[in-house]
Amino acid sequence: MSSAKAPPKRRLGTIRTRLTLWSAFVTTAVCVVLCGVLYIGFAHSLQHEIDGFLAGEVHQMAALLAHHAQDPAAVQASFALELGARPRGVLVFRLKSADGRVLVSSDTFAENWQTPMPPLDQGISAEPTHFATANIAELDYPVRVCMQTFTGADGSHYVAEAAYALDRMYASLATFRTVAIVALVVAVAGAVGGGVIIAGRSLRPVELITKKANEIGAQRLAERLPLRGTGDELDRLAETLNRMLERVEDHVRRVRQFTADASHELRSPLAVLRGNAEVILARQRSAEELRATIEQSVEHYDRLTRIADDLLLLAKGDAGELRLAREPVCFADAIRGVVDLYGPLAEERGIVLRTELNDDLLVCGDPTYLRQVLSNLIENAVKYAGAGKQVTVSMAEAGDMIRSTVRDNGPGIPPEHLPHLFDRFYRADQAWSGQGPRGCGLGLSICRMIVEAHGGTIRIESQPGHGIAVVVSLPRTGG
Amino acid sequence: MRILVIEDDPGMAGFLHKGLREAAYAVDVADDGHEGLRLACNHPYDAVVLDLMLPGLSGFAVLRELRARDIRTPVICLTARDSVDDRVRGLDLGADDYLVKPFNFAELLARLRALLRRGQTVATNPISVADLSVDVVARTAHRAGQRLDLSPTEFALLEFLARHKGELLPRTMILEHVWDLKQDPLTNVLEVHVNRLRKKVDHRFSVPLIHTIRGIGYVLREGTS
Repeated sequence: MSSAKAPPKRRLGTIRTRLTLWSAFVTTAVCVVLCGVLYIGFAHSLQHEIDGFLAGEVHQMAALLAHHAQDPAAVQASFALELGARPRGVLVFRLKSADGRVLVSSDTFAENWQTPMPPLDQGISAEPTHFATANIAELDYPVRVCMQTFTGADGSHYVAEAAYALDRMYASLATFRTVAIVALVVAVAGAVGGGVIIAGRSLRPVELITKKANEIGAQRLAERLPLRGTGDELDRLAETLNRMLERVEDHVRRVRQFTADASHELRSPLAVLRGNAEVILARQRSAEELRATIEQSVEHYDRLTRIADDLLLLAKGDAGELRLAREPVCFADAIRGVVDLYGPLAEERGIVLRTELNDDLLVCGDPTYLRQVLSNLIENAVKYAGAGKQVTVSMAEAGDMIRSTVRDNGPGIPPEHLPHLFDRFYRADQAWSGQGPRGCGLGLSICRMIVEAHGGTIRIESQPGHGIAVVVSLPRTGG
Repeated sequence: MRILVIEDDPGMAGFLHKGLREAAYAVDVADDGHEGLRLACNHPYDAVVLDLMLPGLSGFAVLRELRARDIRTPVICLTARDSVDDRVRGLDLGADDYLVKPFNFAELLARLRALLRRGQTVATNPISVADLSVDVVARTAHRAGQRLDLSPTEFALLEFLARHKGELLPRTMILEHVWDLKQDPLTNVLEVHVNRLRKKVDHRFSVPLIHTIRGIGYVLREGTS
């Protein structure tokens, strides 16, 4: 793994560069293909037009010469007639004998052109016209030649030939190429420039988000990423990150609160321990006095230990490290065990502890932790219900869950406490002055953590004067 | 009985030394792993109390080395971290028991006794303490010849005390063994149970057998100290 400090590869790695390169590449490819297709089509159509024209000319010429091919003067006259006022050198007619000699040429400079011969061995009627593109030594451009064989009035075979210089067609194609290349260069430049601009514009919000996110640290968690209100992908990204920040901030706030509360919670027993020790040390004490103080201090040590245990358990739960056994637990048995433990205490306090159980319902879970939940809930009920009241632990089937209720008909809790009862270190009993040590305000948080780790839910219902009901739902199992 | 304590924290080592000596054990203390290993290899101890977090040679390494040299002395590990991995690792390496700091000293004593007793069967039935007799097979208890009328829970509590007669049993241990509850409820819930049991076992008789050690737990024995 590379260290987080190592600077990331920038140049080719950025989205901006990649976007630009891709845009340029795609534009270039499209332009090249487009120009190529146009060029080929254009060249093809030019040639096609020339070929059509030459075929017409040579056909007409062959028909004309059939009567007087043996007479060069008449042939020359026919050529001149056909050429009419055409500029010299553009179209050339020639008459060749069957052995390839040039008999008559409409233009003297074309007398020595070497052009291919049509296949005469197959007979003269085989193909009316033959085409060839011939490179002429004297010219720096090729000529297109169209040939037709015919039989003269004297019975010998002749070849009529029309040749068209391709210089103008080549010039047109060259112009086309030049224009295409210029267009290509302009298009690629435009694509690169456009790519840079578009990538820059669309990525600027990303840079803003990056910059802002860099500024947000543990000390500035309240800040949020700016939204542009466009509702596009980047706005949604920023919103998502903001929601994440919200959760992180909330979590950090709770952790801070938790740490502060925990320290506070540890300070009180420590203060008592230290104070007691100092008072005892200030004077000579009897053995009984010393013993009493030490006995008292052991209770505070137990309390400190319990807080540390509870905090560790919660921390494990927060870290997702709570390892639960997953076995079928007869929930009625678990309740019975805990009720058996608290029964005498309830009786001593004048509370009737009743159960309504069903032995057929099995919970899938960890018996030790489930007993801990029940112990916390029943202990709370016994602690707060008050003399002469009743605490009922009941269970019922609810779909694929088992719903277990610990209900008392004691004084209940004021509704303003209800939303906070599962908060860590929250105590509804700030003014409580009952017997025994106060809880440390973690019991219900731990209950919730354990129940939720089992895939269950826990909730508290209460109305002042009508007692409290804690409802725990846990997934049931067939056993 | 000679016990070796391998513990680097002077406070911890001090009270272990004092407490164990007062429980009538001979105690040696080593304050690092190398010294502890040397002592454990050269002297026949009856048990070793080993802290897992030691400077130099860790507790795990000491344990591994001991077992590698085929020294089978029972070992109780002490650790400040209650993690399943640590516990499993310690037991895999051949530890015999495991306690998480902070622990009840009485619990350490009880576990130490259990380790030292291991192999010797204490299968006397009924168990007698003075004129109290607890029959763990018939699940009945008699005092001075009179049958005591106990609920199943009361009998379970008495049985646990009787099986450890003369031993100081911490509250947490009683809760764990009798009610299978691993968490100290911090209320006087156990006290109420013990008082009920006491009413039936002790009240009509001149010599009390169930004694409260305030702040720590209970002991079943004849005489007060």
